[in-house]
Amino acid sequence: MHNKTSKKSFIRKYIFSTDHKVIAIQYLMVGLLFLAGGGMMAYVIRMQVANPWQPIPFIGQILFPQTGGIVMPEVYPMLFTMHGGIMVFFAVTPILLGALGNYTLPLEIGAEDMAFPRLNMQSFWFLFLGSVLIIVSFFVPQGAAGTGWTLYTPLSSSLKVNPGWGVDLFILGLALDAVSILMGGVNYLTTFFKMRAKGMKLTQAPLTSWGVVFASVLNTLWLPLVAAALFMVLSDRRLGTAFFVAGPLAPVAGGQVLLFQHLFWGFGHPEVYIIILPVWGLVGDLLSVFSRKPAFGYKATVGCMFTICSLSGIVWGHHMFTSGMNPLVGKAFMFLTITISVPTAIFFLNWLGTLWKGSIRFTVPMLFSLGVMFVFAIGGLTGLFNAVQTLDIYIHDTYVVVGHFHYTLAASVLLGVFAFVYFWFPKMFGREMNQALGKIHFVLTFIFVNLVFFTMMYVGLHGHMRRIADPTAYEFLKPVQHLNVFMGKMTGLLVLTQFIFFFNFVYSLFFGKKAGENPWDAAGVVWTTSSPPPEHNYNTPPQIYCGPHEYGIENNGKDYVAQTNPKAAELTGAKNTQSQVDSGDTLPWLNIAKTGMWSFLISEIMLFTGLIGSYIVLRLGSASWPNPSEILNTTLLGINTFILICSSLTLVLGVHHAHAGNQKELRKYLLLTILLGSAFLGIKIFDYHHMWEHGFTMGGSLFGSCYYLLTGFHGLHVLSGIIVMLYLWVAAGNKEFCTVHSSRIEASGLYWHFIDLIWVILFAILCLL
Amino acid sequence: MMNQKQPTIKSYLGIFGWLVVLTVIEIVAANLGLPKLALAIFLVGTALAKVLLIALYFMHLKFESGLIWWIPGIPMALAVFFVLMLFPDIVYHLTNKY
Ligand code: HEM
Ligand SMILES: [Cu+2]
Repeated sequence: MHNKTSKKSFIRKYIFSTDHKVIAIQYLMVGLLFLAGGGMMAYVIRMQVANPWQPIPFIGQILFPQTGGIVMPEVYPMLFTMHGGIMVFFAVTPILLGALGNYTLPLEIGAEDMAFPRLNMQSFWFLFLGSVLIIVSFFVPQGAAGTGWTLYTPLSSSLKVNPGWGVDLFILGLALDAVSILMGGVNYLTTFFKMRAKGMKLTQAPLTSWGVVFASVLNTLWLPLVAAALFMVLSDRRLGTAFFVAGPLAPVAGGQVLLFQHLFWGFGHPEVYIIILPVWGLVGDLLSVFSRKPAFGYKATVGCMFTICSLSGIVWGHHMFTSGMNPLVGKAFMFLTITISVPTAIFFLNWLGTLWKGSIRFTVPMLFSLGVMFVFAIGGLTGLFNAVQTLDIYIHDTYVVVGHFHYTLAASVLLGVFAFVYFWFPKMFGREMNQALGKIHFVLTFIFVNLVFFTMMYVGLHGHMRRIADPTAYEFLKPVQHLNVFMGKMTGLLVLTQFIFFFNFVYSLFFGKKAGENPWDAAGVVWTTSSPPPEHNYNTPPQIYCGPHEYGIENNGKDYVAQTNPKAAELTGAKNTQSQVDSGDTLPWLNIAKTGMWSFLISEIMLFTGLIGSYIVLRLGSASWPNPSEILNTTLLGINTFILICSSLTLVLGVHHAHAGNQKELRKYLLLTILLGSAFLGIKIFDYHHMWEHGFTMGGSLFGSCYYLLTGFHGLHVLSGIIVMLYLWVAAGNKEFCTVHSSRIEASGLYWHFIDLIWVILFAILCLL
Repeated sequence: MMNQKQPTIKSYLGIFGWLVVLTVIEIVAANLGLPKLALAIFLVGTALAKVLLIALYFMHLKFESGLIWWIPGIPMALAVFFVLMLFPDIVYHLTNKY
């Protein structure tokens, strides 16, 4: 077991910690900071729209001293772009996945930490680096990205219209953020499926954990798709390609603007669920805790989350109805989108079912949960209107859409974030937040949120376009301009209200009432450990006897049965006898290292789906395509294929010896693999150089663009594979290595073979065909 | 953990041999001057065969529980759906009558 009194330096304990609880708090701080920054931008945006080209009250002079506090026309697009981008990727995602996921998941499933603590630490620092780039992007010449958070091409991808470094830094910042989220996803999935406390069946995990797990599934699946698209944008900008540009702006023919939109929304729609799923899970749990009733239809709820998750990957086209997309495809997407409302409605009814006849305790987290229900209902219902193709032609690009997605995304999530913080604060810091201040905070936030976002939909129906800096320039918008003024004021009040929260947070951190183990009378296993929990969460690994929602049961003067209560089966009348108890490991046939690697490979498959899929459709959509064997040196590429296949063989032999505990042979074969991989790269570089000299450049033709992009990405994977192998080779110098870590070698091997497999595909369909 | 008997060094060498042979066949076929469509079908077929060999033996899919197929299977199904949905907009846009 672990040494519980281990003395660690301050830096190890609070800065480069591998403890999921510390990392969660780091995420929370970064997320809240960006939330404040994004909120401030929202205020500036609304004030500009309310009183165009007037100095922004209170903070204008600080933000724009050169112009006397006035937002310049070229700054306005930067504001709404960075507001959206920061809110989605650097505020809400870090708080809901980074903080909520990290803090609650291991604790709620009774694990001592995440499956890969060091990876967990690294993922926070990737986010940190990404956020530094985002902040830097405000200060480069020509300013931050002003393309909209959707980064539509050719606006974003053409240097002619967008020459500064803002877009590039935004993309790189997002890429680092994506790496961070992906590493997190691998961790959450592995932890949840492999490391639940003994006795905890899948159906006994809290809904919050399920929310995090489903969000992670969506992340690992879809984030790589947009990563591929963003790298192609970057390549269009800086490497002279034209994947997403057509017409007079394009250096070469064959690019496709719509391709970008498909790739973006292929990720973009799942992203909205990535953000909302943890909130849904949290609210599901909180409604049960504070209604003192089991979560109604728990299994159906999880089933609905799963269904919504699955459907969310196949509806992205509803964002593109007016893009010039094939209207027949639009119909399919309309149908699929509206289908989502079925599981969503069941899900919502289950929430109502939980509340029905409950003895409701109106605590602050409960109030925020009820708030989420209310605003989510409005957001979900307005989604249906947007989803109707014919109706959307009218409301697309108006404030109706902005209102809709702020109800679902901003309002629900904001209230959800607060529910999370108020509920988990005692566990995190060992003190309670002030309830009276919390209630005032809730009431005011709830009122102002609704006043702002409902008004948005109203002016939208009046035809108010989104993303315009000066509505007074349009005659037909004059009658609703007073509403813009109103929204400006309400936004200001909403922002002011958050100071109550800020004060409460800081005050309670130091002077809040000391919290016991279980301040909420909650039944989950996490409420049996101290607040804050010890370094490895539980002093003895807990044993689970029932689900997390056993409320309303008479038990020694209490009205709930804790998950760790050995008499739970009798008390709850469940048939969960000792013999049926689960090991807490859903995939006994796949060890932890391989589970992590396979989760990661899911994202690799999707990354190459983005890249290879784009190549396939661009090629099939091109009027002409050269014969590769007339351009490429297929003999050389054949030799390279042979080398990579050899390296897979040597590696597989190395793993074979590792399992047999033969350390010397393992190191020999690892070294051979490294050498072969390096040879592959060397030949690749030679080949690039040679062809480039002969005029086959990246920007010269669509074929060149695809060739260098795909093989280049593959080459980067080979390079990282080599680095992993080198690390293993060094580590395997240790005598114990084989016996202790052979599963790690095997998992790394999976990655190497996957790279080989991708090359096999590229060789056939890109180099030979 | 493993539900089938482990592959031997000999079987690894066998797979390696197949991969090399298939690669050689691919290169030869590409230089025969076949019609594009025929070559495409052939190359996709051989590539898939090689992918399967690598996945089954080198990545051990054959020796894990059958459930493991869900892990690569789901993203691959989504990938196919995704790419097919791009066809009307991007592949057929040259002949779009809408
Ligand atoms: C009941 C389910 C939902 C349906 C039927 C739905 C439908 C739609 C449709 C059709 C659009 C495109 C409108 C347009 O651009 O003209 C849209 C936009 C949007 N929705 Fe939803 N939605 C639903 C739930 C959600 C949820 C849960 C979220 C977030 C948590 C969300 C966030 C967004 C965002 C961010 C946009 C706009 C993105 C942009 O253009 O910048 N939606 N929704
Ligand atoms: Cu959507």
